[in-house]
Amino acid sequence: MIALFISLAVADISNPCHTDMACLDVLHAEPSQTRNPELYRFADPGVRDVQWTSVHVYRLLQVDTEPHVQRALMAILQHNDLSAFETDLLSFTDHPDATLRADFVELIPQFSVLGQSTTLNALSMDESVLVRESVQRVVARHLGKEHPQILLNGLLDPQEIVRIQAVKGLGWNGIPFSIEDALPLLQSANPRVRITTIRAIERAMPQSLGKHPIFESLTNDPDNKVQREIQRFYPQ
Amino acid sequence: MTVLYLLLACNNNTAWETTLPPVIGVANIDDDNGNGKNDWEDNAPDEENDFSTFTVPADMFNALKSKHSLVLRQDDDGFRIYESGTLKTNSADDFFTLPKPDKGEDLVLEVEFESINASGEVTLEWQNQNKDILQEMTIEFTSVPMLLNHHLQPMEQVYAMAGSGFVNNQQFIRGFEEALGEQFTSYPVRDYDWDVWLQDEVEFANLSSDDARIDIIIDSIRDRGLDDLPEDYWEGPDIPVKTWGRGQANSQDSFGNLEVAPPVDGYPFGRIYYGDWYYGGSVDTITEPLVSQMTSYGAQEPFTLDVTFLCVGHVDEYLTFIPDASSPKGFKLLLSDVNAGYEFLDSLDPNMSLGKYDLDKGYPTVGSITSDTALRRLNEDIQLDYIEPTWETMKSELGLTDDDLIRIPMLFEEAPQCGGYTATLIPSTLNMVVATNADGTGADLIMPDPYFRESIGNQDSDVFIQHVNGLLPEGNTPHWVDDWNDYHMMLGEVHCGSNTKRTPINISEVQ
Repeated sequence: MIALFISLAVADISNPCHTDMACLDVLHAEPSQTRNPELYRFADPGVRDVQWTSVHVYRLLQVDTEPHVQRALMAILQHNDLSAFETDLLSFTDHPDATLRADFVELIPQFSVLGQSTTLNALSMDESVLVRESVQRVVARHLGKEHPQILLNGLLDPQEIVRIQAVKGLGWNGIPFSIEDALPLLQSANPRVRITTIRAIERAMPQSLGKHPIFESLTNDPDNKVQREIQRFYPQ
Repeated sequence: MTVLYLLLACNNNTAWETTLPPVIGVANIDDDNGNGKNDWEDNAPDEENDFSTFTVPADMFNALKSKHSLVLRQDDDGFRIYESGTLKTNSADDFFTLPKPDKGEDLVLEVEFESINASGEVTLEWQNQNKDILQEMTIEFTSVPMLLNHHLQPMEQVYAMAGSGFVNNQQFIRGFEEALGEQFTSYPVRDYDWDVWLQDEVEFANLSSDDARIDIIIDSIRDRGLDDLPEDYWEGPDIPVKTWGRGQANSQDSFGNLEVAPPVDGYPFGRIYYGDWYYGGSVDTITEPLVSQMTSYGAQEPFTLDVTFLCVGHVDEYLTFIPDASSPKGFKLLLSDVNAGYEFLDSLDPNMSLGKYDLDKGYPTVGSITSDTALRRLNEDIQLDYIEPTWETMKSELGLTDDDLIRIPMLFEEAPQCGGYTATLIPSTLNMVVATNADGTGADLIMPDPYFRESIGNQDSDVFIQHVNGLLPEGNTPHWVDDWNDYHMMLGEVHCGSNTKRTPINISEVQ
C-alpha cells in the first residue's frame, strides 16, 4: 500500500531526459562500491554535476531504483538545492524501509525552511529509532540554529541513542536547555554518553554543571575519562 | 667429569668449551617446484632454496681420536637435517653419525623447518669407540617469525590498479609512474571487478634469514574484486599466499587497518597496530585467527586504536610513520590533527574559493568551512575523543615523545549515508605511500592532492601543499597525486589504493 502511494506520488514526475543521450547516460550511470563495502558512490564528476539534479531526483523516486543506487544518489543530492523538488521527495517520509527513511533525512537541509519543518516534524516522531536518531544527528550538524525545538524535543525521546544526538546538537549549536532533561544521560551506564553530555552542557551553558547537585557525583565518576572531562571545565 | 676435563686438556681443544650459535632459518612453506604442495610436504625438491645451513666446525672433529665419532641427535620435531641433500634426521630422537670432513674442513649440513616461529634443539655427542658420551653440546634451531613490514624498510616495488571507464585514474597512475619509475607496477582494474583498494586485500610479510627469503602474501578474508590478484600475479617460488581466518569479513578485516610502527626500544622489528570499531556492546576487529597468529610470534606485539569515529574505520586514514634521519629514533609519527587544521584554515583568506569543495562538499570558500560552527564542534569532539587518545596510546605503547610527532592539519566531515561516522574533509595527507629509500633515511612520499586552491590546475599555488611540505623532515620528497574522484570521494586515498613490497628485515642481523 505504501509502495503504491509512492508510485502514485511520483506519477507526475516525467522522465527529464527524453532523448538527450548525455542525460540518459547520467540517468543510467552505475555507482561504484566505496572502500566501505556497504556504501556506493558515483566516481564520475560529470554525474555529480549540479545540472543533473532533476535527473537524480527522478531516478531516486522510481520504485525500481535499487536501494544502493538510491543512497548513492542521495550522497550527490545532499549538496544540491532541493527546494524545487521537496514536494515530490516528501513521499520518502512514508517509505517502508526505515534505513532509507533514515538516509533520506540527510537531504532535508537542502529543502526550504518550510519544507524542513514539515519533514522534520514528521520524521522526528517516526516509529523507527533509526530515523529519529538520524533526524537529531542531521539537525545537530546542519539545522540546529533553524530548528532548535527539534533538538529540545529530542532530549525527551525514550531512546538514549536519540537523546545523545539531541544533546550533542544542543551543545554544538550553543542552545541552552534544562539540565534536568539531560539527567538520564548524565546517569547513563555508558561513560561515553556521560562525557558527551557533560561537554554539551558546558558548551551550551558554560559553568552551569558545577552549580547542579549532580556535579558532586560526576567528580567522583568511576570512569577516569569522565573525571578528565569534568576537569577540563573545572580544573582544580 | 674429571676424565672429561683430562680428555679436553689432552686434546687441547677449545671447540667443545664454547657453544655453537643458534641455527636460524625460514619455514619451508612455499612451493618452489610449483606442484601445488607445500615444500615441507614435498621432500626436498631439486628446486628447493629455503634450507638453512648448520656448520659443524672442523675443530670439533679435530678433537676426536681415531675411533671416536660425532653423533647428531635431533631432540625435537619440526625440522629436518640433510647431509649433501640426503635426509638424515626427520623428527625427535632421530640421530646419525656425522661424516668426518676433509682435514681442516667444516661440515656443512642443511636444515629444513616445518613451521613459522618454531624452535627445537639438537645435541652433538662426542662418543668413544664404546659409544660412551665423552662430551655433548646442545644447539638451538629456530625458524624465524613472520614479520610484517614497517615504513623504515626500503621499498622494492609499489603496486596499484589502473583503468579507464568505470574507474578513470590515469592521473593517479601517472603520478606514481613519475615518482617511482620502474619501481611502480599497475594491474588492470577491469579484471578485478573495478576494485581499486589494493591495500585492503593483501599485506606483505616475510620470513628472512641469512640463507633464505620468503615473501608471504597475507590475503585478507575481505574477498572483494581483488581476491584473485595475489594468485594471478605474485604467487610462486618463495612467494606463498596465505589466509588466516574465514567467514564474514567486516571493514576492520581490510589491511588498511593493519599497520606496523617502526622499531622502538624493546621491539627491534616494530609493533603491529590496528583499529577496533565499537558499537553498542560489541566491537568489530581483525579476524581472530590472524590476531592470534601475529600475537603468537611476540616479535611485533600488536596494540589497538579506537577508530569508531571513522566511516571506513582503518588506521591508515589518520596516521602514518615516515623516515627522519635527523631524529634519534629515525622516524616521525604523522598524526592528523584538527586543531592544526583549524589553525591553518583560520590563517587563510576566508574569501578564497575552493572549486573542488564547492561541488562535492558544499563548501565554496575557506570561510564557509571555518564559519560552520557545528563542523568545528564535530572536529573538536574527534580531537578530544580519538586523536588525543591515539597519541596517548602511541606514547605509552611505543615510548614516543613530543619530539617524535608531527601534527598534520586535517578536518573530518560526516560521510553521507554513514550514520554520522566520518571521513576526512580534505583528502587525507597521512593516507600516503611511504616509498623508503635503500638506506632508510628518507622516502618518496606519494600523497593525495588536497586541491586546496582557487586554480584547480595549478598545483604550485596550493596553500595546503605548501604548508605540509614545510612540515616534512629533510630527506623526504613529496609527490602530490590526484586521487579525488576514484579514491577520496569513494572514502579512501592513495595508501588505500596501493601496496608496497619492502626489503625484509633479516632477523639474524637484528639479533
